[in-house]
Amino acid sequence: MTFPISRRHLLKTAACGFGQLAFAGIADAAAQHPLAPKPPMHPPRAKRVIFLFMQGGPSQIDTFDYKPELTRWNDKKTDFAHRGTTQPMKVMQHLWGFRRHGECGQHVSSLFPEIARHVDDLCFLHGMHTEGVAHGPATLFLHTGASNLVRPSMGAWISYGLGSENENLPAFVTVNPPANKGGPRNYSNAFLPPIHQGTVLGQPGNRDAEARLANLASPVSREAGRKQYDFLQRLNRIQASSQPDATVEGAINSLEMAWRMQNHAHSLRDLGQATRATRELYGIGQKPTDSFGRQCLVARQLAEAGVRYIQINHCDNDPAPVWDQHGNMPKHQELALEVDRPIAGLLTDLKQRGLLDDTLIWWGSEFGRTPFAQGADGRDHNPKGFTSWLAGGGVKRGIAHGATDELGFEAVAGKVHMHDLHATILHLLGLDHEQLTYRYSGRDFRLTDVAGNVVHEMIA
Amino acid sequence: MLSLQLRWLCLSISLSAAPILAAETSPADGVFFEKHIRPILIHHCYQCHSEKAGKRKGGLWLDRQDGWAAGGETGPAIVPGDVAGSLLLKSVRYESLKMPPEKQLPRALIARLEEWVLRGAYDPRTASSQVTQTGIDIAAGRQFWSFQPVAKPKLPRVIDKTWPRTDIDHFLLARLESAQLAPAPDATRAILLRRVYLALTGLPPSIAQQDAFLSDLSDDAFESVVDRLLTSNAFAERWARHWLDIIRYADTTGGGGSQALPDAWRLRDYVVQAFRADKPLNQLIREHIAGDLLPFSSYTEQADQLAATGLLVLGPHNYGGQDKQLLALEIVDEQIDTIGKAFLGMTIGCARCHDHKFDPIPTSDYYALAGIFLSTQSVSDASAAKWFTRDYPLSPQQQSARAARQTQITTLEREIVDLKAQIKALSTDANADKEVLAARNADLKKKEALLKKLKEHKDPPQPTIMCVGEAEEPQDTPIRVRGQPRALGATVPRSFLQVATSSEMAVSTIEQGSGRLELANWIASDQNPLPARVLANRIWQHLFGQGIVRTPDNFGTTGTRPTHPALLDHLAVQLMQNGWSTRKLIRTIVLSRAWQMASTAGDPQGAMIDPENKLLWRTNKRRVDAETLRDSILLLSGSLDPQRGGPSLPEDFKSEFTFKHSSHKRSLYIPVFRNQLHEIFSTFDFANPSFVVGKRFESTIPTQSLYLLNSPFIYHHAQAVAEQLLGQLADPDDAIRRVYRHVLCRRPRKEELVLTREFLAAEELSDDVRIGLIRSLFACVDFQYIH
Repeated sequence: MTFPISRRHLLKTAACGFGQLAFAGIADAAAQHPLAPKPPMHPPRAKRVIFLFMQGGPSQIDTFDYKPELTRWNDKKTDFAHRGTTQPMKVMQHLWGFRRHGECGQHVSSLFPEIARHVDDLCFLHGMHTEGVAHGPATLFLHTGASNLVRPSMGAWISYGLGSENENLPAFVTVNPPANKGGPRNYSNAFLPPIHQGTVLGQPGNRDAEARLANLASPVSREAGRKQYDFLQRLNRIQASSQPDATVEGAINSLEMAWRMQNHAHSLRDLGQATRATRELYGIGQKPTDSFGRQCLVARQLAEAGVRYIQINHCDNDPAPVWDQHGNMPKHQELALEVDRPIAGLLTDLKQRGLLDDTLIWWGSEFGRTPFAQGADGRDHNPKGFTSWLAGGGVKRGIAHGATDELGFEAVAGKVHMHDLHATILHLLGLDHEQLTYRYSGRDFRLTDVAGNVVHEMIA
Repeated sequence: MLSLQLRWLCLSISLSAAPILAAETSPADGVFFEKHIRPILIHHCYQCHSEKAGKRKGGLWLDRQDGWAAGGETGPAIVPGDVAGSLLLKSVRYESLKMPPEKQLPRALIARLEEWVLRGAYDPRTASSQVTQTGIDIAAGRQFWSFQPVAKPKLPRVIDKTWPRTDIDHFLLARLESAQLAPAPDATRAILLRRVYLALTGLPPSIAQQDAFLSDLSDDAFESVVDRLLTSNAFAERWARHWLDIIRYADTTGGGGSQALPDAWRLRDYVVQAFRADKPLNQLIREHIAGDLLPFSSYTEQADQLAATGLLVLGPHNYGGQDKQLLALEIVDEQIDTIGKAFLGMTIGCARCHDHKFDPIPTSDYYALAGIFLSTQSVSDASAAKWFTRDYPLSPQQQSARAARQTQITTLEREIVDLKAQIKALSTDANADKEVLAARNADLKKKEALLKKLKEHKDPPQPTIMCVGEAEEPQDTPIRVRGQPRALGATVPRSFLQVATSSEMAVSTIEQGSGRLELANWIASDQNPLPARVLANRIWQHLFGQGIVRTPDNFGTTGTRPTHPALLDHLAVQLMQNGWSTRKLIRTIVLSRAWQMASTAGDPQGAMIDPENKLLWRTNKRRVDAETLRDSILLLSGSLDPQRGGPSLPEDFKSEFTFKHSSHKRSLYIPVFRNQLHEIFSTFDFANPSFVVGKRFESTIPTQSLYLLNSPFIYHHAQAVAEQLLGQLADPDDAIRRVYRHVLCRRPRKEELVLTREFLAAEELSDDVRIGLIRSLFACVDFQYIH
């Protein structure tokens, strides 16, 4: 169990030993801290977001978007031409059975038996559509609202808009993000001030890396480290005494914050630590679920510690992203197994701790897959229609908004463009996507460019 | 359906309550039209109702205001304000005609059209132009300060005649005196020496270099240090790196499916060489834009000039992107954006979709430039899977060897033909001498073998240069309405920015080729008001920490105004008069008294009147940048690898993610990966290599402090320094003085000496303590900042 540590609490209790924190600039610096919390633009429904990124495009029609018509059409060629394909394509029905779940009776396939237990908390968006047919552009679009131009990531915008809830921690953290398909551009601040860049825990793309902040561990013993730090700050005091100014105070304060992150922000140091029961809840320590289970646990711990925007990534560093089954759709089984229990565990844990009410969970990918077959048993990319789901912080529970056509190919009702989803998530956080702007290169930029509509139908 | 009816109800209520006056329009109507209406018309109506498509079905034009006002065969299509009666609206609602016929518009778009008509159907389109007629007055635009011709300003009067040492000092002091501020005292010699070393070379002075300067009491002691540094390799490397920031240099494309740019280093080395040779900056620009079109006197010069144009294809593109038309336009856009910001201080890219909102740059100017770059070959082939490359030019030796071989082949082939004819004649001649025939046959065999060998000869693989070429058919390009690749407007002749082209400028018209050479000459011209100002400002900024214009890539109306306009023009004139020499301008600036002020003391009024130090009442304190930090530490630990230049990537390079950085060369030779910067770069605000970065961020964030406290790099090199300087402490105070001079380039203050002595003496002297001292010095304020 970890607790967010307030600055005041720390200042009272931390035995830091560098001149009893008698730094004139500290209070002022706190006030000017670029991550100091900022008031939202309207009352928020969620305080933070956990984005569960399934890289590569899971198939909507094999997971959450039930299309009984597919069975009738199975193996038959049909003309998807009116939807933009160039020739008749062979339909491949869903490879896993669907069943209704929960009181709401929403369909979930047998790929996600554990998530299915939480179906009454989920808000499905079956009418998602986006831009970019290839992974690179679509992944950038998902994260930054632009498929080629270098733009700030959604987390950076939120950090810029709301600041951090916890001064010991950055506002935007991404855990083991993919290094391919845009890599750091997906968590980049672009032209926003660099403090809003996503802080990376763990190695990009390395599913097995432990989620850690770089250089958090001291190369020397705690005692030697303390002495050196003490010496350093006293030296800085001497040097600062002849040059009172804000920059130098800023440097000293930054060292102090680093020292606190290293020694006092238990939320960082103890990331991944949990009781046996909790570890089991997330499937940590068991083969298929261990890696993503750790990420989910870290996500909950960061949420609890007050990080605004947490992204965890189900991905690897292969040129082809994990969920990208152009051949071998049955591999979805294995992948689902890796994430099903951890995600269910996260939902359970957040609920138990009362965090689900103000934490928005977002499950999704850069696009979905086609209902027609590619090769013997694969499916191609499909940005025209796919499913994301949200849970918690201000969204309706146990509903499905929007729909694809009878074969699950193209969004036809309740369409939610990626820009719309971005706008809606900002809205839930108390930010107006049209007002959240940053002036760069002579004009105001925003996450949603000149598009985006808040989808009020999904808001509770 | 209910909601639709409801909306109808609302509409009719608002109609009856407040009749719309079509005559009244506001800027909001223009925005509404551009944002919502024009795209609908382009996408859904132009296909059958526009001049561009050559179709006027039903006699109706929808590509101009008078088209729908006059209407087609069925009468006016729109009656402003009349939502229920306008035929166009009835048609899109499928109430009368069904338009567009293939599929009804989404409800949201119909609602937009209704709102537009309700608001009075504002429409700026006229028949003569299918794009918004420019509201931009170029002549008025030229009145803005940065478009005014650069003129040599008069030296202002100053009250304190003893302070100024150079012209620059007059300009600065005059402003300070008018604000009743006094300049800060001179910096100490030790501080000044570290400052000038770091500013000019990015490396600190050694103890020996400190001693040499401090003991040289002649008047020109500082001047001779400056002159020596300005001709050093380290200077060229330092200032080349500043240039690389503004040409967004990188060794990979970044983005999805990042590709290695294995020849990018040639561009980098070209820039280093340019600064080493003090190449005139306008010539540097000329070669960047049109190096492939310039004359050359040797194959190496040709290669350099080709490599210079690598700038144009170095952008962060998803080469191989699927929409080739879009990709071509995005590459051009990025080229215009880069050149505009880097050399002209103009955000021209804003004019891609509409007239520039703030600066006098109409969309037609953008496409005048776009025509030049669309007439340039930037990608390998039609599939646009790669940037353009050319073989490295052949040396004269290679050329003559190749020519000699070709001659030999031709001769042999001729001889073989002859021989065959002879043999044929001989073999049909019964009287022929058998021996002669045998000899001819043997000869033929020999010659054929030799020819085969010659033809099989393979030259060693030809190194390549990433560069541009001329397109096969250079041509003017049409405006893309709202930036949409397939929405074509009027064609614009290739040309340059009108606002920066005064009537006095001799501008050559583009008669053949892409026009890049003409563009390069236009930018590099002494008459162009922008580049000299922009470049002088960049040099000033690198020396002072802040530019005279604080938005170095934006000299437009949304940029900041110069704090010292006359001084900026003075510097721009100096730059041009001295043949665009970087070195001479730097020399002039660092020898001014202004540059040699202290950063720490200063007029107490300064902090009150001018807290941002815009008037320069003291020197700005500056954080060392990523390269200075890394290179200094490598130098101090004795690990800096003196090798220069050459390929950044190993031949077996696989991916930026698995690449292990092991080089100890200077930082500018470390590969720049757009997706995965070297840790010290990403931590310490390295320029984002996807953008023109005239001014880097100077953030102070905890991840930097964690790096300084705990990173293996700092620890490892601190250990090396500790071993060299703190091995045996016979005289601790002496050792302490040495490490301070070595790392901080100055003697310790008394309190520092006492504190350090205590730290070392606190317990048994362990490695932790020795290394801890050096780590602390690396992390302390006086190392992290340049005073």
